[in-house]
Formats: sequence, C-alpha cells, structure tokens
Amino acid sequence: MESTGNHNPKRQRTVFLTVFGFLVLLTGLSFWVANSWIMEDRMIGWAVMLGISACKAMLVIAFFMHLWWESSWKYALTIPALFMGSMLVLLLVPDIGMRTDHYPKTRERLSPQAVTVPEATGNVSSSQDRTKS
Amino acid sequence: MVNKVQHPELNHPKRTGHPVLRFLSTYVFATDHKIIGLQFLFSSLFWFAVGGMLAMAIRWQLAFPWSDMPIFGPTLFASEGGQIPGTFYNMLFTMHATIMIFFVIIPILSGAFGNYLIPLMIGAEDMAFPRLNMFSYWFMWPAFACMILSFTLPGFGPTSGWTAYPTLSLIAGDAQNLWILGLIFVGISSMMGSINYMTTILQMRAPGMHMFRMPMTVWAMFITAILQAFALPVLTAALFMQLSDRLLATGFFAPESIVVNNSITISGGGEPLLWQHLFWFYSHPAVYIMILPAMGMVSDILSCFARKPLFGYRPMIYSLIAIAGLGFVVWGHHMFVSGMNRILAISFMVSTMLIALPSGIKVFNWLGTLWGGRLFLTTPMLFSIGFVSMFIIGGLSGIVMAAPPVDIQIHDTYFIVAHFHYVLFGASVLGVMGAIYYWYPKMFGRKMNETMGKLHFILTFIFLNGTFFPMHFLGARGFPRRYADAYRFEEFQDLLPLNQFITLCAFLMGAAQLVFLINFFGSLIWGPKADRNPWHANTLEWSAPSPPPHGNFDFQPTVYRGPYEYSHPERSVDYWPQTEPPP
Amino acid sequence: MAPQQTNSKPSDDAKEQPAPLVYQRAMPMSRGKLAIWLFLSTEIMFFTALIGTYIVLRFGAPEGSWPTPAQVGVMEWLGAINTFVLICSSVTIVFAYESAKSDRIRAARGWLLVTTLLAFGFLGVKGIEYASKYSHGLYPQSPRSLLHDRSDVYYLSHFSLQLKQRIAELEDQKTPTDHHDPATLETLYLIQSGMLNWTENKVGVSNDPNMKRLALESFAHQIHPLADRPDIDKYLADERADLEEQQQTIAPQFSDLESKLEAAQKQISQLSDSIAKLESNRKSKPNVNGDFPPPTEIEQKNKAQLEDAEKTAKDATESISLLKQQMNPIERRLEAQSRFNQFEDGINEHFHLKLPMVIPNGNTWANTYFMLTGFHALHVVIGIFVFLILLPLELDRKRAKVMENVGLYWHFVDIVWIFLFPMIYLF
Ligand code: HEM
Ligand SMILES: [Cu+2]
Repeated sequence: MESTGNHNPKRQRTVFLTVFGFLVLLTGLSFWVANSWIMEDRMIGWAVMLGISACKAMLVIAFFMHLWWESSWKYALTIPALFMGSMLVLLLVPDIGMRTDHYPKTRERLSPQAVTVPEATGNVSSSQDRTKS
Repeated sequence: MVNKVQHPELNHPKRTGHPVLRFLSTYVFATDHKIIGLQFLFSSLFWFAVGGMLAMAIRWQLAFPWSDMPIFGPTLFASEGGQIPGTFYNMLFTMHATIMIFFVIIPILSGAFGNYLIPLMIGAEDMAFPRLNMFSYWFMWPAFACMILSFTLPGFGPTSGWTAYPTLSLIAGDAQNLWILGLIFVGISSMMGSINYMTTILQMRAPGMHMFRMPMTVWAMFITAILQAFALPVLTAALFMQLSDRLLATGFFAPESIVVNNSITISGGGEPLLWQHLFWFYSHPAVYIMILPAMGMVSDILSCFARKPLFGYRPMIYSLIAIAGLGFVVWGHHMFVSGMNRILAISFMVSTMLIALPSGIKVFNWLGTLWGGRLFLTTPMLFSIGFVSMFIIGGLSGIVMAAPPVDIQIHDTYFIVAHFHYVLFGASVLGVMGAIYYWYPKMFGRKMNETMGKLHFILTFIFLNGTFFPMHFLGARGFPRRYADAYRFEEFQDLLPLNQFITLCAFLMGAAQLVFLINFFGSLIWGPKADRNPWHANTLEWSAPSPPPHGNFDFQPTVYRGPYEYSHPERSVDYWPQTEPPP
Repeated sequence: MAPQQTNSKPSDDAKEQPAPLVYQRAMPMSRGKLAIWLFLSTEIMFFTALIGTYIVLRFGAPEGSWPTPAQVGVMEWLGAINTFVLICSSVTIVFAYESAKSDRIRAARGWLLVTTLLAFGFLGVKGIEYASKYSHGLYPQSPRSLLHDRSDVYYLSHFSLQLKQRIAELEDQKTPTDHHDPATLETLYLIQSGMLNWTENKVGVSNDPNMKRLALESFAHQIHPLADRPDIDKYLADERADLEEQQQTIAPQFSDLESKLEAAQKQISQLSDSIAKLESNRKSKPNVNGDFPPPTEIEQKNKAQLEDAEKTAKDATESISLLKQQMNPIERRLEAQSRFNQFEDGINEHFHLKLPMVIPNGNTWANTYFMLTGFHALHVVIGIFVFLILLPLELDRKRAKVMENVGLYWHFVDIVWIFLFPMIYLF
C-alpha cells in the first residue's frame, strides 16, 4: 500500500532536515566550483557542477519523493525515462553540439567579411538630410 | 465450431443496476470508455474521408498536371480556369499526411480501439480516470478547429509538409501556426490517453488476468501508450520552439544571419538540423504508434479464425518490447541526406537493421499461427491476412532504405512513398478495417454484411497494390515526391502513363470504400442481431453483453487461462473463454 | 493534473452503482500516484528536450563566444536565492504531507501556506530578473530581436531602422514625458549623424576589409561594449586625430572662401547701387519719342562687373556649402566621439536606449534562457494553482493521498530547477 515506511515522525523529520542541509551545502558547493580554478577547463567545471546537481536530484527523489522507502517499481518508472532522455541528448551531440566544428570560414563569428550590401550604402545619402538638426 | 460451451456469465452472481444515462451525459459529456471510443471512431472516419479527398486531388495533379481539377478547381480557382497553383499542391500533400497520421490512424488505433477494447479485454468496468478520458477526446476538437481554420487562410492551408522542416516552415504563411497549435492539442490529447491506458492496464486487470494472460491487443496498446508517453513530449517541446521561432523570431531552428526576401525577419543562431532530430525522435516511434496496435489486433483475429493458439505468444510480446525500445534509437534513418554526422548515420543504420529482427519474428509468428490452422476466411480474417502480406512488402522496402548508400539514391522519391503506404495503408489501414469488421458486433450489437465485406476487401486489396506497387518503379527511376510537376524534367516525361494508371487505381480504391460506408451504416439498422460471442472467441470482451452496458460486465469476470486456447485437445468445443472456470 | 485526482474515487453522478469489480494490480500504489509518476516521466522527456536543446546549442558555441553572466546581466546570487527558496518549499511540502497523514489539519495547512508563499517568492525573484532583461532589451521579439551575433551590415541597417523609429516617436511627442530617459532628440540625432551615418559611409567607401571590420566593430563597441578592446580604442583615437587634422586643414580654406565671399558681396552691393543711380538718372530724361537714352558706357561696364562679382559670390557660396558638407560629418563625428567615448558602459546602457546591439550568441542565449526558465515558471504557476485549490480544504488523512501526489509534482519542479540553476547561472 502507501509504503512510506513505518518510521516514527520524529526520525522522519530529522531525515528531512538533514537532507535539506545537504541540499543547501551542495548548492553552495556548486557556487564555489563556478568561481574556482576548476572552471579553468570549462568542460570539467560543467561536469562537476552537473554531477553536484545530479546528487541533489538524487537526494530529493530518494527522500522527499520517498523512493528510498519504495519497492522495486521505482526502477521501472524512472530508469526508462532517464535512459531515453540521455539517449536523445547524446545523439544530438555530434550534429548539434559539435556543429561549429564544421562551419565554413564564412560562418565564423566576427569574421572580417560580411560587408558591402547596397542597402547600407544606399541609406547614407537618404539619411544624411537628418544631420541638419 | 460447435455450439456447446459453458456460459460462465450465467454461473456467476448477476451484477445488475447499471445506471441509465441521459443523452447529454451519454454522448457529449461521455466518460464511458466505449462511448469515447466510438466518438474517436466516428471522427476518425470523418477525417479519413477528408484525407482521402485530398489524396485524390494529389493523384489528379500527378496524372493530369495543371488541368482543370474537379471540385477544387471550379470552387477555388475558377478565375484561373480551374488550374491549381503549385502551392496548393504543397498544401494538398501536407494536409493529406497530417490528417491521415494525426487525425485518422493514431486516433482510430489508440483512441478508438484502445479506448473501446482495453477495459473490456482486461475485465475492467471503465478506464482508470474516466473524466481524463473525456478530456482526451475533447482536446481533439481544438485540433480539429485549428486544421479546419487553416484551410480558410491564404494558401488554403499549411504548405511545409507534414515534417515541417525549417527553414521552409519558418517562412511559411500563417496557416503553419495553426498547424503547430493543432498538433500541440493532439499531443495533449494523446498524453492524457496514454497515461490513462498505462494506469488502467497496470492496475485494473480482473483477478487472474496476469500480464502474460493479456491478449496481444492489450499488450500492443500498452507498448503504444509507453511510446506515446515518452516520445510525444519531445515533439511538443519542438513544436513550441518552432511556434516561438515563427511568432517571436527566436531562431532555435534558424541559422544565424538568415536573410529572407531581402529583409531581416529571423534572429537566427540556431540549427535547422535540430528540428529534424527532435521531430524524428518523436516521429519514428510514431510510425510504430501507427502500427503496433494494428499488429496486436491482427494477432488476435488471426488466432481466432485459424482456431489455433497464437504461435509464440511470449516472443510476440518480447518483440513488441524490442521494437519499442529500438524504435527510440533509429530516428536518424530519416535524415541520411540531411548532412548529419556520418558516423552517427552508420550507427542509425545498424540500429534500423536490428529492428527488422523483431519485426521479422512477428511476421514468422503470424505465419506460424496460420500454418496448419483451420482457416475461416471471414472478412476480418481476410483483412488480417492482407495486413501480414502488405507488412512484409513494406518492411522489406524499409530494410532496403536503411542503408545510407541506397537511401541517398531513393530518398524523397516515390520509393519512400511506396514504402510508407505499404506499411501505413497496406498494413495499418487494412488492420483497422479488419478490427472494425471483427468488433463491430460487440460495438453495435449487430453483424456487418459478409458479402459486402469480402467485396470491400477484394477491391481494396487489388487497387491498393495497383496504386502503391508501381510507385516502387517510379522511385527507382528517381521520380521525386512532393513535386507538383516533375514532368518538367525531360527524363520523367515517359512516366506520365504509369502515373495515370496509379491514379486510376487510386480512384477505384477510393470508390471501393463506398462499399464499406454502406455496409457500416446500413448494418447499424439492418444488420442481424449479434449475441455475446458471435466469433466464438476467447477474450474477455466476448463474454460481456453486445453492446456492453455502462459498467461493461454483468458479472465479476475472473480469468483462468490465456487468451488463445483454441482447439484444445481435451475439449469438445474449439474455444475456451478466459472466464470459463476450469472443470 | 486535477482531473486525475478527483477521478480516483468512483464517479458520483450516478447514485445507483452496480457492485464494483475486483482488480489485481501490478504496482503497490493508488492509481492517482501511478498516474502522477507516469506523468512525471513524460515531463522528464519534455524537459530533456528543452534542456538538451540548450546543452547542445551551448556546447556547440565556439569557446568564449557565449555571453558571460555579466554581459547579459544575469545575477548569480539571485539564482542561488531562488534555489534556496525552492529547496525550502520542497521541505515544507513534505512537512505538509506528513502532517496531513497524521491528521494534523492545521499544521498541514500552515505548511502548505508556507509552500505557497515560497512559490510566490520564487516567481517574484523571477519577475525581477525578467524585468531587468526587458529593460535592457535582452529578449526575443518579433520581427527581430535587438541582439546580433556580429557587427555586419545587417546589424547596421537594423540599427538605422530602429533609430529612425525612435526619432520619429520622439519627434511626434512634442514634450518628452518620460523623465526617466535622459536621451533627447539631440542625442539621437548625434548618434545618427556622428555614428551611424559615419560608419555607413566608411563601410560603403572603404575598400580595405580590415578598415570596414574595425569601423563596424568600433561602432558596435561604442553602442554596447562587451570587453576591453584596446585595438578599438586605438582605432578611435587614430581616427580622431586624423579628423582633427583634416579639420585644421579645412578651416583656413574656409575662412579664405568666406572673406572672398564677403568681398564679392560688398562689391555687388556697391555696383548695384551705382547702377541703380545711373539708371534712374538716365530714365529721368526721356527723349522726344518717349524713349530713354541708351545706357552709358560706364553703366554697361558696371553691369559686366556685377555679373562677374555675382558669379564669384555664387562660386564661393557653392564651395562653402561643399566644404560645409565635408566639414559637417567630421564635426558631428568629432562631437560624437567627444561625447560618447567616455561612457564605459556604452551608449545603449547609458541612455537606456534599447537599440540593436552585438552580443555573439546573444540570441541563442536569450532564446534558451527564456524557454527554460519560462517553461519552469509555468510549472511553478500550475503548482501554485493547485496549492490554492487545496488550501481551503480539510487536509486530513483522507486527503493525504492528494497531498502526496501534489508533493511529487512539486519536487519534480524543484529537481528541474536544481539542474537549471548551474546551467543558466554558473556555466
Ligand atoms: C522493418 C521496419 C522498417 C524499416 C527498416 C523502415 C525504414 C525506413 C526508412 C529508412 C525510411 C526513410 C526513407 C527516406 O526518407 O529516405 C522510412 C520512412 C518512413 N517509414 Fe519506415 N521503416 C520500417 C517500418 C515502418 C513502419 C511499420 C511504418 C509505419 C507504420 C513506417 C513508416 C514510415 C514513414 C511514414 C516514412 C516516411 C516519412 C517521411 O519522410 O515522410 N515504416 N522507413
Ligand atoms: Cu523511421
């Protein structure tokens, strides 16, 4: 039935408050990581921060959402979604995540080309009138 | 078939007092899964007619390009002498596909039959959440409204194809917004439905109905619901992004610095390929959403009319699960020519080829079921055999296209059109027809006319092959799909006669559906009354009254065996209902 | 969400019900809870699509081209506060559920109320953030956002379009009502002539791609600087020196011409005076026929001189206006430079102008930022709705199930934010 465990409420409460403490601590930790030497390699920094987030999510799922105390159905309901979700993101990486690796030179940002369109020079004469203010 | 069988429902204490509902609560605010199923059925049949008309218009243009088109020509383009503009052709194929996929096949399979059959087949009195079920039908109506409204906008509707690839779809007219909104509503409706189905199947099975005693239909509906639940949200998210690209100029799917018609309209910075990935992440599973339920229903029908247990019940279930699982990692086979990463393309090729394995298992199991059976060639049986044979052709051409070197040649040609019409019309629609003939007595308490049914099958089967088989040749010659006039290229001009033959077959196939219409509606009035179990089938729905009352069962169903105990050697009759207590 | 919960009890519209059927279930929980878990799995997929989109777009942005939090005014500490708020609300809704389960109705309601308030607090902070994005023009809009990936001619022409609109608006309203806005029409004119037209001209005339690039970049930099750019500072200083020199060379020519013109004008007035005198003299004595005597030699000579002088004057005026045409942009440019160069924060920021600006990947940043936070905020709003429905009810043991389901949903909203926080604020 509603198997939230037969813990007594007092102990439940300390569990929840401990989890809360950890969550706050981990938030602080990721804040620290963001401004520390770890971010020198941004990939590593991101991975660490996402790892911390994953830990926080686990804490919330396990204790606040009671999965810690539930039977094995929890795997049936969470693992497929996680698997398919990560599949989606992973398979997007080569095409979208690495898209700029294959951009031609003309698409590079702030590249020195991209000039001379008649429009712009055409505007010069017409808007010059306004300078007589 | 011998008539002597114990009637379990007569041995159980009667369940009486089914409430009689008034008209409004029966048909409009319906929470009864059977009524909702019928609502889905009738609206899908209506849209089937609309989509069919659009298909006929497409075929007219391909057979008699730029000539005065009947119906559409004089009403819409009288000033041009009835000649349609090219964009109208784009609208035709866009709306034909959209309607057929989102308003016909998906709603009729999971909406109509899913709703009608799931509770009956597992012995439940209704869905787990009847009111949610009602909303899932209601949410189809805004979608209908969007589509109908979009026909009235300039251009007579969206023109970017059912795949709505950016950047074409980003610069398309306003009708595209309605198209997107419509699909979002369909998505919400399907979401509600799928959560309802999963909960019902998991939690509301009659005593004794273990998961592995459920009929294949229910299993297929269950897997389909899972597919919908996991794939649809991705499409919904992508649709929201495309809508905001169009309305707010966000540019998730627009490359940077894109200049349209010499004016700056799109902010850009995104990636058109991203849409293709997100879209096909949904839409490949969606093609299985469009066939798995039909596979399940056909399995039940085949076993019933071969009077034999279904060959390999468990392998059938495992292959369903495998198809569903693999179906999530093959979407890239639609994008081989999109400029995607080549290594990624190879991995998509491999997974696509792998999916042919479970599909093949299913085909062999159907054949194994038929093998040595005592075949009763009733109309539902004919349609089911048609399903299997058409699926073999469609599946084979699918495997051919799964190899990028081949696909690069035939992508966006009529070969693709032939493939998906074999699986979608040849298989899914024939399966649906079979299911309608099979469950009609349960739904309406009357039988359909067998002679007309067989006529309907034969005509449909012949003309369907006449229509779609030659398309393979067109495709092999490189005849492109989605062109209003490919004859502009000299090398295709000699294909016009073949196209005219296809169009002739298509018209005749359309006409053959009139036989079905007459049979369907005529039998509502003149059909002979059906008893509880006219086909002598085993599954639970056949031990309920025909049609079942509100609340479904007039006794507490209890299940003692699997659904396919036909021709059991120790029994005098050749069927053994699941509810019949053991001797 | 709501119908799922209300429907888990048998429908109440029919009084007389047949005996309910008996079922076996696969999962040891109520239908409502199962449905919520299934719903949450679909939500996982929904947010995966959104977050995945963000990750791959972000991941693919070339190193260093994604806007830093400072460049787009994202305040990390606000995000941290919101994280804290949501974590607190997760704890309070757990307490609300536990209280309801043990029939402590008042406590349950109290905790739910706190949760609701925290949710409102979250939205409030979100509102502050959105308002700051709005006031800086950092948001997607149709037909085109103000953010440009690079300083090219499309940027310039969009800028010119927006500026013209802004000027027209100000010209229409005679008395500037917005006291908040120190940008006057004068400033806008100066931006138009001293910066926009100048750069347009430069880009149109110059053949050196490097010069074009620098002109465009320095323009974008002055409108909205992203980082210290010594090369641009040097370019501007050089240009200024160059222009001042030009001014110096043109100025003497100018006074030359002016004195020439003055002399010519003086001559013209003298000559026309004497001509008039001679003429009236002549006309006062007509001969017998009533005709006037022919002009004298002197008069004719004067007339010829007058024509000459007039021509000189005309030439001088023309040259002067030509010089003025040359001088005017230079003067305006110098004026603009001396006026605007001092703004460290850029013209846009300084005058609260919301003119198009160049932030590489700024669009993609804004799109994903609003998409992620927007859909998350939408979920918060839905949560608040449900809380408000629940608050007046008796939150006792019977309703604990509903509380549990709502709690599951709310924790999910929290989890999404747990991932959004580092991705949006700290990456
Ligand atoms: C054996 C299994 C199958 C394989 C290997 C397969 C393979 C493929 C491939 C490779 C394509 C892309 C062709 C291209 O655009 O170049 C394709 C397209 C398509 N397939 Fe299949 N397929 C299979 C079964 C099915 C089934 C069962 C359905 C539907 C019920 C289906 C519906 C479609 C549709 C609608 C398209 C075209 C989409 C479009 O471009 O508009 N396929 N298939
Ligand atoms: Cu596919």
